[in-house]
Amino acid sequence: MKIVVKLFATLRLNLKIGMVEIHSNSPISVLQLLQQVSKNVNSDILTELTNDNKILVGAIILIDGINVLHQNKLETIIDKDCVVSVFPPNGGG
Amino acid sequence: MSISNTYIATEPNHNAMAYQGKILRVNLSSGTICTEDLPMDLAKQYIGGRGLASKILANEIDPTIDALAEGNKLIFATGPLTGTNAPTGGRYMVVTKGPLTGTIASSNSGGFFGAKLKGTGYDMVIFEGKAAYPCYLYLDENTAELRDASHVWGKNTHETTDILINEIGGEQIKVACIGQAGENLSLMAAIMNDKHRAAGRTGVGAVMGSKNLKAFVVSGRKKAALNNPEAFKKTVKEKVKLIKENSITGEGLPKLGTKVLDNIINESGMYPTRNYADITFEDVHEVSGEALVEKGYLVKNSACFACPIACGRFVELPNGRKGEGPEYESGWCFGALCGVNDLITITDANFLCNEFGFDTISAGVTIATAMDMYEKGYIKKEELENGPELKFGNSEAVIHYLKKMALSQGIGKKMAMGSYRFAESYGHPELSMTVKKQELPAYDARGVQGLGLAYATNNRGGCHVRAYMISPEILGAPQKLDPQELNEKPKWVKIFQDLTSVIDSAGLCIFSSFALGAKDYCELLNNATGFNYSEEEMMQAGERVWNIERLFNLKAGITHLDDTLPKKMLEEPIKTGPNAGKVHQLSVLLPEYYKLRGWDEKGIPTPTKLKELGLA
Repeated sequence: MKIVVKLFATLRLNLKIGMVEIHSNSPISVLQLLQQVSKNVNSDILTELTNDNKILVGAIILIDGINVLHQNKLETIIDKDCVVSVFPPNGGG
Repeated sequence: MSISNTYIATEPNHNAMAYQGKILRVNLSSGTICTEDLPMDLAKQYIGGRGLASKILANEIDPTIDALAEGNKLIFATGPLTGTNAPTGGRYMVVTKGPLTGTIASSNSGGFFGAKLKGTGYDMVIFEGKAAYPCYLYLDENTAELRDASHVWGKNTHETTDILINEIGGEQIKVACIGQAGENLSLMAAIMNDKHRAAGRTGVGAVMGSKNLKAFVVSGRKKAALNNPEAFKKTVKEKVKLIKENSITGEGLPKLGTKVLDNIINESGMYPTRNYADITFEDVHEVSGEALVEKGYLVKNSACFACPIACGRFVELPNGRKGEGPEYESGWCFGALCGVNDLITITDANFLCNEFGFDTISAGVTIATAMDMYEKGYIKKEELENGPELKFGNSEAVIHYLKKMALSQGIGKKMAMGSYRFAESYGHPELSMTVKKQELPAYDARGVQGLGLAYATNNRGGCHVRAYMISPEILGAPQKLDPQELNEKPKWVKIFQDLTSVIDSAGLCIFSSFALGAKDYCELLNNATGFNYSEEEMMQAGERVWNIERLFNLKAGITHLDDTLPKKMLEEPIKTGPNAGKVHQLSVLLPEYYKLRGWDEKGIPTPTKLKELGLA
C-alpha cells in the first residue's frame, strides 16, 4: 500500500521536504507512520505534533482530508492507499 | 488651513478607570467640535469599543436611514484596554450603519492608530453631518481641528498618509484615511490606518467618503489611569506568558501568519475555488503561506501595538513593490477564488487594495463573481471596453478590474457596488456568494457546519471573525469538534459570538483567544477598570452587545429571512473530497440557535430576554 505523506507549514519549511512516500505491506497506525516518516527525513517530527503521545492542540493530521481526532487519533489504522496531510500547530483568521 | 474652531481638550474624567472618560463629537456640517463625558454606566454594560459605540449609534440614528446620507454617524471607538500593555491592546473599531449590507457595521482594525487615538484623551470620536468640502480631523492632546484636505483628495491612502505626516511633522502621528474607493463611494471601501491596516468590511470607507472626511490624524500619549496598576501589570505578564507558550500564538502564527490556512483548508476539502465551482485548488502550492516564504517574498513578520504574537507579514516582490500582507482571506480571494496561481499578482492585488482603500475579501469575491458571469456569457465582451477578458486564471484581469472599481470607471463602476448588486443587475444574484449582501470569506460552509451557522447569523453579514468556528472545527482549539457534526454547534456559535463581542469591545485582538479564555479577559478587564465583573456578567455584556446590534438590524428592516446562506450551500452538495455529498444544514441549526439566544422563531429577542439583558 502506498501512503503519500504531505508535510506542511514549519515542518515543510524547516525540513525543506514537502512530501514523503511510505510503502507498507500491512496495515499501519498513524503513530507508526509518523515514526517511519521521522526516520526517512532524519528528524523526529513527532515532537512537533505530539506531547506525551497526545496530539498537540492545533496540530492537524488528516487522512484523505478527515482529521484523525475523529477516528482513533494516533492509533488510527491505515489499510489502503491514501494521502496523509500533516500540520504542526497553526492558526489564522 | 483650519476650517473649524480649534478646540482645546478639557481635564480628564477622574472617575473613569482605564477609560479617558471623554467623547469628542465633531459636526462636519457646522464645523463645531465639543467634548462630552463618556457615560460610565453604559461603559460597564457595554464595555467599550464595539459595544459602547453600537449602543450610542443605536440611540442616536434612525436605523432605516440611508447609510450614505448625512444623518448617518461614523464612530471611531477604543476600548478600556486599548493603549494599555494588555497583550494585543491596540485595537479600535469603526462603527456606523454599513452601506453594503444595510446592517450595523463595526469594523475592527489593529496597527498603532487605536493606541494613539486613546492617547489624545478620548475614548471615542463621533463624526456627524457632512463637510462642505474635503477635510480631515487633526487631534492631539491639546487640539482638535478640522483642516482642509483638498490637496489629498484623489490620492491613495499611502500618498495621503505620507503627505499629512510630512506636513504636520512628528514621529508620533498616525493616520486613518480613505483612498479613491471611499471617495468614489464604493460599497466595499475600507478605512486604512498605518497604511496597511484596515477597518475593512461593510463599506465603512464609503460612509467616511460620503461625509467628505478624507482622514483622521491623531497624536497622543496620555495614558488612562488604571484601577489597580500593580495587579494589572502582574495579570498582563501572566497572559503574555500564556500567549507565548501556546503553540498557535507562540509558534504557528508568528512563523507563518494566517496564510498557513491555504493548505489546511485545501487539504480539508473546503477551499472555494473558481467562485465555488470547486473546493480544492490544484495550484495551491504556488500561492500558499509556505510558497510566500519559499519564493523569498517574506521579509519579516510584523506586530501591532502591544502584540506578542506578530502575525503580520512584511513582503517584498521581485518587481520592487513592498508592503504588508497578504493575509489568508486576501490571498485566497485573488488566488484560488479567481483561479489565479500567480503569487506576485495576488500580493500586488492586496497592496492595491491597501492603497485604494478596499476590503480585500469583498473586492476579490466581486472579481471572481464577474469572472463567473463572463464565462457563463452574462457579461458581454464589449462591456469590457478592450480590457482583459474576465476569465478565471487571468491575472491581468484581477489587477485591471481592481483599478477600474477603485476609480469607478467602465464596468468597474457597477462592480464597485459589491458582488450582490452587480450580479443582481444582470439577473443572476445566485452567483454572488454573500450573506446580507456581504461577501463570504475563505471557507466553504458545506464543509464546516458551525461556521456556516455563524455566517448566516452574523449581525454584519458574511463574516468569519465574529465567531471563528474554524478554530474548534478545523484547528482543534480549544478542543476539536467534528466539522460535520450538528450537535452543540449553536451553543458554540453563541459562546464565540458573545466572547468576540467582549474582546472587540475591550480593545483586544481576537487572535489572543487562541490562548486566552473568558477567565483571562475578565481578569484583565477587572484589574484595569475596577468593574469587578464575574465571568457571567462579562459574557452577559457580550450578549448584550450582540442583542443591541440585532435590535438595530431589525429596526433597519433586516429579518430572519436574511439569516441564510447562498442557495448553493443549502442545496448543492460538494462533489468531491472529504465533504462529498454535504450541504449546509442551516434549517436544523437555526431554530436551535434562536432558542438558545432567547429569540422567537422569527429571530426577534423576546421580552424575557430583553428584560434579562436590561434592554426592555
